[in-house]
Amino acid sequence: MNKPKFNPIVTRVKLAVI
Amino acid sequence: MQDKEILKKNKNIVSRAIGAETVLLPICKDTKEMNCIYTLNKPAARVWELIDGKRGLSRIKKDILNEFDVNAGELDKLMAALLKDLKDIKAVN
Repeated sequence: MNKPKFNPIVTRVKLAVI
Repeated sequence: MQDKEILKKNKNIVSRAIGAETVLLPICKDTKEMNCIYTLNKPAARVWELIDGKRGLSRIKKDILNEFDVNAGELDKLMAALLKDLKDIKAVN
């Protein structure tokens, strides 16, 4: 089975008063 | 960053899996402080899951090498960048 690619991404979602 | 370093999550960040993404939510004293949230894609979320306050960085890297298509050299760079991001947003100590 193919392993998934390791491409970690953290995305900032700017906002408040999901 | 030392491979023996034990990574710990910040207790003031909570996470929830929603669909294919994991949302990191800072706990704020009031809504004035809450100006952003963060999302992690699956590979980043897997690292987040492995950060349990017990595993060292070397153990986490070993697990990632087994589970993902990445070589050791590339993994070192990607992990360093990811952990910098997580530390910048105060998600890990």
